[in-house]
Amino acid sequence: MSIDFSQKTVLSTKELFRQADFDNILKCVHCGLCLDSCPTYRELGDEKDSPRGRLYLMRGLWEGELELEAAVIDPLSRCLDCRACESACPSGVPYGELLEKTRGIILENTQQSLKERILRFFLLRGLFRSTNLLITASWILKIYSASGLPKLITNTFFAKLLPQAFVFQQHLLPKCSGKSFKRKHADQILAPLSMENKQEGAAQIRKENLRVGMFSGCIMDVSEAAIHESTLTLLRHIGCEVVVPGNQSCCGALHVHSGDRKTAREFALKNIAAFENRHLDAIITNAAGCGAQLQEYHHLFTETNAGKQKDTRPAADWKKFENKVTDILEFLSAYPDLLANLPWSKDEDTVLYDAPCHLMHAQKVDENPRKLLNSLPGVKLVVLNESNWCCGSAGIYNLVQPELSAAVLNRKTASIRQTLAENPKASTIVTANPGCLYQIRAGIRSNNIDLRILHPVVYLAERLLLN
Amino acid sequence: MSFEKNIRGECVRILGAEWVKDDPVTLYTYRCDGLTLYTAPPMGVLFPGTVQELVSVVKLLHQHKISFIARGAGTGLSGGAIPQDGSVIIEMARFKEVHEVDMINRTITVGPGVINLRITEHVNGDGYHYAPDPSSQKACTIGGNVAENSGGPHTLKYGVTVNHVLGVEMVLADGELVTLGANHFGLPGPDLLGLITGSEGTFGIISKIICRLTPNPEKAVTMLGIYKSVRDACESVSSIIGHGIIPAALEMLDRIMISAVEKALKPGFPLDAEAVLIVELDGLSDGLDVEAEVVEKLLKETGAITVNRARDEVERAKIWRARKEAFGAIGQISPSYYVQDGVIPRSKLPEVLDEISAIGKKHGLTVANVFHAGDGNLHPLILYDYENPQEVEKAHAIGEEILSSCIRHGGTLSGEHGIGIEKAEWMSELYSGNSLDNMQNVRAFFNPENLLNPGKIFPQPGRCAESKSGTPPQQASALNKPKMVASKSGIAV
Ligand SMILES: Cc1cc2nc3c(=O)[nH]c(=O)nc-3n(C[C@H](O)[C@H](O)[C@H](O)COP(=O)(O)OP(=O)(O)OC[C@H]3O[C@@H](n4cnc5c(N)ncnc54)[C@H](O)[C@@H]3O)c2cc1C
Ligand code: SF4
Ligand code: SF4
Repeated sequence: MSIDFSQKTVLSTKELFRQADFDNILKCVHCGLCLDSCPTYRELGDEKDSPRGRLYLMRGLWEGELELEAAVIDPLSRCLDCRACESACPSGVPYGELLEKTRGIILENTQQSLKERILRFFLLRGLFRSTNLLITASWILKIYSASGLPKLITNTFFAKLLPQAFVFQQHLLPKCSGKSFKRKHADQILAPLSMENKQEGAAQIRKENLRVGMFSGCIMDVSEAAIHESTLTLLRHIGCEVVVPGNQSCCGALHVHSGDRKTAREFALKNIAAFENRHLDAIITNAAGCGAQLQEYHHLFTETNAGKQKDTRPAADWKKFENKVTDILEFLSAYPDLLANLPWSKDEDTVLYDAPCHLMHAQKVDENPRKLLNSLPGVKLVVLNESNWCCGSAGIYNLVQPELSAAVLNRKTASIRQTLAENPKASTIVTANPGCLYQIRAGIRSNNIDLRILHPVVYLAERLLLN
Repeated sequence: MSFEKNIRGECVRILGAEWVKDDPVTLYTYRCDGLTLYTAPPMGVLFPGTVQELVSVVKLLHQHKISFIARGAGTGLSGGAIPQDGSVIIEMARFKEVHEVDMINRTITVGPGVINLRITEHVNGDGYHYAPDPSSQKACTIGGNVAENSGGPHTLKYGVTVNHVLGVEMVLADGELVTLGANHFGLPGPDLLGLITGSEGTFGIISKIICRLTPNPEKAVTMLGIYKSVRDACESVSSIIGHGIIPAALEMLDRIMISAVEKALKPGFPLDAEAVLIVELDGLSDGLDVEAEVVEKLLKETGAITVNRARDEVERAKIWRARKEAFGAIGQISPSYYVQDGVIPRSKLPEVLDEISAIGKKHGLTVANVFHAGDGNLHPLILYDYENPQEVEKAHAIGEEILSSCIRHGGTLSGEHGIGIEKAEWMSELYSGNSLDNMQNVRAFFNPENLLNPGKIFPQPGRCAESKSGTPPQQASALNKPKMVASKSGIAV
């Protein structure tokens, strides 16, 4: 293979990988059982765009048989990091960790395209670092949305004139609030709210004095306000004390997925500091991607080349932190009695369920959210055909790989259509990750599918009869 | 190696640039299949999307006397999809169409790239399934299954692929499109369909398959017998079959395999057991429980310390996932494995298993076992470290001694994984020269210039040249094993 070594590094590719604690690559025995679970392989049918092929490339890099050149990097960039392959793999290959480390090495040791550098500089390194900038951006987007311009672009003849990707991006826009959730509640101790019907269970939880922290994220902190508010309401109503640390930051998932481990390490250190010493029993996330990232922070510090950011904390600190991180649905489902005693609406409704990749394949949370939703009075939960299939959002994948992302989304919209045809009464589809919410919402809007899309907690809160 | 310019141009004209690949990275990832002990890169990879395109590229390659090979999901374990002599790979992954479901005749017509399990998923709602269930069923293609005549745990009762394929459409080596069979039984004259099934992609490229659908059994009972010794478990197998009971499946895992699947998939197998035996009975509900009780009694009589029954579908699925994904789970305890596929008469199970364990010990490597006990189809997995050249050599030696042992006990080389390149040399141990020549003559009828998947099934080198009508392809070179093993990235499954 030809060697292109125009990189900044003096270390060989092999040495770079040897420093990255990469031995788990050996767990892949090349059996191929993961192939059919991979959205890009199903789309392209090409071995190098399959999990096994990508691992084979990573292994080639690790062994020094391959070099960091575009032809090797491209298939790795086309990976959604959806981790469906991890669930399919019988050998326990930690695919996500290996890919993310590889992307880290790629970013630090190769030349990036101008588009990528700009995106990285303004978005990942700039915007997501600063709550003030996020609030400002949220304001601007809020005004932009209110101006009616996005609707004008998507609903009128403009849609035909403008580039498809641009029109689609209008559908993708988050619902911005222009306000920061964490600033609103910063560092207060939000007391449990008692419901009218005082049940034994509720007494029990208060006896335990459960205190939880809420992780608010970056974009989510300033948009889709209903999700955080509903989470807060539910937590308080089952009797938790809730704290929203004001000094928390973005989780860094988007950074890790795109190889920027430096910024992610910075966020990891900030977040662990923000949440520790607050006597929390759990750290609640409602974005599957953030939750998965917080649960895997220690991966960021296993490389011997983490440089100055080499972590000085004992591994036990990370373990303690990570073990506390729990998805809101998983958390709630541990208290079925408390939930059952809340005053729920009994209206009949059919809801479609979509399982976000980072909930199912990364956090391995699968059954409980479905059980929880199904247990609601009057609710019939229908799991989407291919519910565990990626929607193509995958962080900012839909912005950097628009074509493949669109193909993956098409498959999702097709399965929504099909499930809807089999269940014509369904009114709502729920998905527990904001990225998926934006993406699927854009998918159903641009295909004129008549469904509303909500985060499951918003749906739950909606059905709670509060007076 | 890559395409010559004019060939490339022609391929692009037929398929479009997007579906013609010969860059070094593509070739690198296509240099091995599920067997990584040997690697060899193709000249290029073509991705036809329609039968017409397939016919056109085959004609083109035939015209230029370039050898070629079909590839499904590349899960084969005998190197069937590893291109020899720089053959061109024709990737069949895009043939994913389900053409027709015919519930009256109980058939389904599919493209060869359809994944085995998807067929069952497609018709499950109607109460049917596609019976052959190789452990790789969630990834392997039906085209690969036909080529390898694949079996699976449930073939004990239901038979292998050849019993479930009613017809195929196939592109011959010169690009001629032929159809064999239809959506009904019976094909007067010699059974050509049977001949093609299991020909490991050397007779033609299959472009459409009519599969038989099997009604789902009314009920299934899955039992797990737990043993203190492998011998006892083998006795149970003989006892069940001896009593005239044909379970749907009869599968065994030994202690090492149990520890691997417990680490990876946690099916709840006891770690201190020397062996577990999975027995599945299925059929009409009436009488099934009675039969299950008989089996349970037999298992206990022959030494099972406990017999558990799966209480529901979830438990049953757990047991089966552990069994079916056992090969992969080995990654938990060993960086590489090399799996053999010998078949022996059932009665010889205890003897041969003892011998296998002794062979492993003699060479100082561990051999794990998970296999189709009911069929006497062994799958000894030789565990070794691919980075240690001595261990690689030992793995080879152990594999060969195990095969010798199988043949010595009246068995054969392969139950379901095929001969491929891996066991080609062994064919002359099993058959006399004359039989091999005759077999090659049959192949030569379909594949006269040996352009289709050369270097497979029959011993190399020179074998083809010796046979009366098979002439080696233009660029044929003797299969050079040492050269191929030298590839370090070969993960040596
Ligand atoms: C974990 C694991 C478990 C396995 N368990 C079993 C098992 O229980 N039973 C079993 O029988 N096998 C098993 N196998 C082996 C393998 O899965 C089967 O041989 C399977 O049929 C191969 O299918 P494939 O699509 O991967 O074919 P490939 O590996 O791509 O190809 C196999 C052969 O078929 C030929 N071929 C592929 N498609 C076509 C076509 N359209 N026309 C003509 N020729 C074609 C190829 O040229 C090649 O020679 C297992 C493999 C693994 C990795
Ligand atoms: S990642 Fe897992 S399933 Fe995929 S090839 Fe490797 S071992 Fe097999
Ligand atoms: S993470 Fe998703 S896209 Fe990437 S290889 Fe795995 S299954 Fe495929």
